[in-house]
Amino acid sequence: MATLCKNCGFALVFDPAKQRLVCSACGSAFRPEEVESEAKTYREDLEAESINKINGTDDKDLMDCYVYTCSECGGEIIVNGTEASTTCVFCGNPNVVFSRIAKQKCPEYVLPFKVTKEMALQIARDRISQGFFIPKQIKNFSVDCCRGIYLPYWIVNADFQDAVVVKGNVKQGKSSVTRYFGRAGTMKLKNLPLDASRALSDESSSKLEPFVLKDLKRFDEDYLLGFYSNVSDVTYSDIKKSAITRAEEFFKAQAMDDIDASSKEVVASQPSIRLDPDMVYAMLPAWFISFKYKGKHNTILVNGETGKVVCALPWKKVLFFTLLILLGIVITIGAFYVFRATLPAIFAGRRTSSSSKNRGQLIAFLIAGIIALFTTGIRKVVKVVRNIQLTQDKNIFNFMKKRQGSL
Amino acid sequence: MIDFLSFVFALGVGFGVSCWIFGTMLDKSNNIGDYKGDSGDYNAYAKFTTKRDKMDKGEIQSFIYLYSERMSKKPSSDPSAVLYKGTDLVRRLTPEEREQIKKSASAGESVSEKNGISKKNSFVDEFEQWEKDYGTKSDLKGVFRPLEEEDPRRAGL
Repeated sequence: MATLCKNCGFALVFDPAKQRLVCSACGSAFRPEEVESEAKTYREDLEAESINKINGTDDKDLMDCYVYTCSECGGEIIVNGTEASTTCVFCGNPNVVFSRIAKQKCPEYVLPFKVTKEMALQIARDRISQGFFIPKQIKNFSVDCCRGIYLPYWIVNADFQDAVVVKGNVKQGKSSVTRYFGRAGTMKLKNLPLDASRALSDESSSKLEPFVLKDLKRFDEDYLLGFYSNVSDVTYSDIKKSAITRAEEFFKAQAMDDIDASSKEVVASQPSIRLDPDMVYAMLPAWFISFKYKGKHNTILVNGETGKVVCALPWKKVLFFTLLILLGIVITIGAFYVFRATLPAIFAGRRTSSSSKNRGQLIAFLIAGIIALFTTGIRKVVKVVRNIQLTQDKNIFNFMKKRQGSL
Repeated sequence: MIDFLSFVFALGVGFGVSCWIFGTMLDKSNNIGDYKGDSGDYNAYAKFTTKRDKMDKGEIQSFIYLYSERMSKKPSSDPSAVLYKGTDLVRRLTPEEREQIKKSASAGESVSEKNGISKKNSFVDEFEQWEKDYGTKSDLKGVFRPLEEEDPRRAGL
């Protein structure tokens, strides 16, 4: 299952920096598409045995686990039903579990890793070190595990149609009134990548985007050597749901931009989508870096092509709230003197109906402004906390961790 | 009284501004890469075929009904319906299936038609049908007025 160096017979791995298959023993380098190996033919007929069948058990946890034999050392390679490449835990050789990606299951394209493991770690550390509220222990995190994984994606074209009604406030004279705006139309989606792995949440994978799809290469299994990979396990309904969610976001954002009103909010919509059934199956690269902080696993994702870092990290709560309160007190003191000087002038004016209306408007404006500041600030904190939960999500950690080998 | 009001407003402004500043700072500091890409990244530009401004609340449902397309569920109008079911695992098409899709596309159908989007014949037909189905029963009776068939808002539908 491993592709061997034709000069010395050592196992080859794909080097993102050189974009070649390299031999760590003799230093030879080959283009993946140039390498002709017996292993490629051998892989096509490779069969796996169910671990339950081997053990004579009926354990539901092991129902989707298969055992292969390493072509180099004869050791057992255990993978789950969606894995396509892994490493042998005994000899460390990269192995492509080819029967899982053969024929119809085989991707058409692959976006090779451009970011090496060292680069991914450096990029993540550099980005994290800039965070003002990130604890020192996280800035100097020690890597628990760092794995390069090719994620399966379906790249789709689709026709989307939607009719949305947006509620918004418009000015009418001196006051504002609530109005409803309708926008209906169509949208063509071209080359939209959709995550094809059920084990990884769409929310996490979509943040890895954008990928530069013009760099896609015709699939060659040798690109997988040295990396882990999964195969698609989603249904047409899953893909349709993902596509409609993404398209709806794009359409609603553009509909909102097209409307001249304040406090806009979509109150009704009726989206529909038709996917082009001829979808492109591709494998896209990502680094998964995990570390432990206060007993919890945090997983940082790095786009294996562009180096985009995706994570939300725990924050220094004491520092955050201390600074918030201190600044709050300072501004309160300043504002108190400003209000004490200006309010008497406002209230001491002539008590005509128009002046009391103006006073009322000023106070309403002030209260609305205060509420807006609070809600914006709190919303941002809530967003960070929600994304921290995503970084500490056990599913992402298990997606990366529960693989054989030590890459 | 003025002192008390000044204090209340100052407290709101002080902690409101502080909350906004530190909320923004925390978002920038700890929330890394929270961007999924927008329509510009995928050249997904909406083409609005209908725009209605300043509608009343009662017109919401009628707008949605009239201007949203409904996908045909007939297998005959959707070539993909004979290729797979929603519960099937997504797979690459065989060359024969690709050929089949190509043929239906080259038969003069647009991408949308190829994919089975049912287009309305005319606005008047649609309105009449709606009125037949719901008009007399609905408490929104009288809300709708038939528009001219040449209504520019329908252009392109």
